[in-house]
Amino acid sequence: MLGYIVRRMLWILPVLFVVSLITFSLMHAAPGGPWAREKKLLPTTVAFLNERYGLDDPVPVQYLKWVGKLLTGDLGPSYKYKDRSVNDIVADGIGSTVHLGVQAFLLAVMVGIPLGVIGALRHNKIPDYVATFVSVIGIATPSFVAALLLLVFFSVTLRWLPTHGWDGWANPGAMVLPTVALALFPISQIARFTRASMLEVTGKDYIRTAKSKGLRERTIVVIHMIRNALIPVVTILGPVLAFLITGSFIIETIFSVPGIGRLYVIAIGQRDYGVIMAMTMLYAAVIAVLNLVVDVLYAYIDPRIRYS
Amino acid sequence: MANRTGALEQPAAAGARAASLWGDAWRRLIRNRLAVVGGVIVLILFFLLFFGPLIAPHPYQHQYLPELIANDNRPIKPFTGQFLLGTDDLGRDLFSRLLDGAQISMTVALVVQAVVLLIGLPIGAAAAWYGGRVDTYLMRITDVVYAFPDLLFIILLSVTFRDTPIGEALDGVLLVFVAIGLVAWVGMARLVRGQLLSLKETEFVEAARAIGVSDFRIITRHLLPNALGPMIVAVTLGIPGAILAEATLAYLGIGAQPPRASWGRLVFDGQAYMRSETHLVIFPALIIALALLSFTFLGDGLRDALDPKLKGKQ
Repeated sequence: MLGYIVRRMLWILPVLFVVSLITFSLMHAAPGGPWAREKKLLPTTVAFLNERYGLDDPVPVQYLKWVGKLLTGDLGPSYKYKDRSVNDIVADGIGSTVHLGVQAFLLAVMVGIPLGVIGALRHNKIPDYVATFVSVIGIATPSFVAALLLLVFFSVTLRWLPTHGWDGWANPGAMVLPTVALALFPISQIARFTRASMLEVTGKDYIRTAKSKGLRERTIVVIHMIRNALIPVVTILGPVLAFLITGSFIIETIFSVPGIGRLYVIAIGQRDYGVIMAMTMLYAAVIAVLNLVVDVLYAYIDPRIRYS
Repeated sequence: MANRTGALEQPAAAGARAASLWGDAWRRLIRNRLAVVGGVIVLILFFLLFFGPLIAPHPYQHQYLPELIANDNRPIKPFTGQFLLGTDDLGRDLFSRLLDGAQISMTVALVVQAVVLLIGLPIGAAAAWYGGRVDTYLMRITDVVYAFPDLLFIILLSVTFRDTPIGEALDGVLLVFVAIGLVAWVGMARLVRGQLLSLKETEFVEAARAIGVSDFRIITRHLLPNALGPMIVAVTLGIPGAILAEATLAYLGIGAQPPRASWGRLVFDGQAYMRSETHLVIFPALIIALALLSFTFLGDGLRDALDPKLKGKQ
């Protein structure tokens, strides 16, 4: 098991290397650069900027320099925010993004799993239909539409919650709508998965055995069904959390959450090479690590699974 | 022995088995009401892909300025006159614009899935069939693609190539298709690989190999047809993801360029009038929801119909 974990962790490095290579080549293959804007800069200014930021070097040299700096923990300069390094930008935004993502994740787990369990236990009865209806709404509503509808209803019409002003726990009211809007899709994903998994377990022999030896309904459901049904659910939790952390940029934009997702989208539009590279690597690392954690967790909670 | 004879008579046997398998699946599918409703709406949407512009009451990009001015320069409300769902702030007929959006979304659905099959199928099949080093390398490629944050990578691709000939083709739509497809094929490759790995060890494949059938023919004639069910389900369930990705990009202003009316773009445009002219957000949001749901219901129905494990439970 330990060998497996070490090998998987070592494998993350080449993946990140290739990801950085692809992103770097893509950025530099495209026409236009960070200095292209509506009002053209003077050629001498462009030449000066290129020299200052090392953009005159051949692309492979630029890449190697970037890797060299990365190894010392320096993510390089931002081409748009002249007075801030990419390290500063990431450090400022990552907290809000992770906070929002983890909060939405907890909400999704706490609502999604019970919804799925209730749906399966009352299969084809009214609670099942209600639970299914909720998860169907989650699937059918893109996050930007959900965010807009929540804004119209709770902020504009009822005036209960603010439209923006995310400030962590300093302003809990402003956290409600972004968290709910972001969690909606994962809630239905988890609920659907849990329901299917529970229904599958319901037909198993050991459940029939448990029933025939007269165990209480509660014991059967909690000890025998839910524990077994949740094993496959764990496998989707990694991708779900990764999605919530890397995919929150729309919600961040709509609710003005000062996270890195919003900055990333802006950076792509502006060709801010340093920010794009840093954040792509960061996101790729988050995804890779979460997938590894889930695989290890999977083996831990289900002793039947053995990696070699 | 029995197996070997069966394998030699493969064509006839496969035909008979396939007919009953698909027949059973079809009967299970049409008994599933949600799947049927979803399927009908999917058919209507595909009809709109080809005939939407013909049944559109107005040109989607035409501004009806006199009518707009007569209405105090405000978007015309729905169900009031010559415009079924009203107009937007520029006096363009919303219903016709939604039909144009349907054309974009359904083209996305088709082209993205075609790209997914074109890349994912050969890679998954080769990885499963040749195994060993080929398998390792091909699966490492999927690992790398999987490691990218997908929507952000699509945005990166779209923005990067926006000013190139591909980026300008078809009002900027083609690039979005390709970008989404380049990210989405990984799931298909893994699915095909998984299916083929288990089928590869079956006796009828061994028999086909023994009588000297070529690799290509075994894969295309013996392996893939047997993996078709899960692939159809994956394609159907992949479509809402592609439609959603396109709508999200359009909402961010990436992809189909104005005056084309992608559904996501319509939501974005309507957002400014959300308080007074709710129809500008509600109708595009509803049609996005309808399309996503229909494909999801149809896909779920197909999965239940094609999954032999559920046989007898319904």
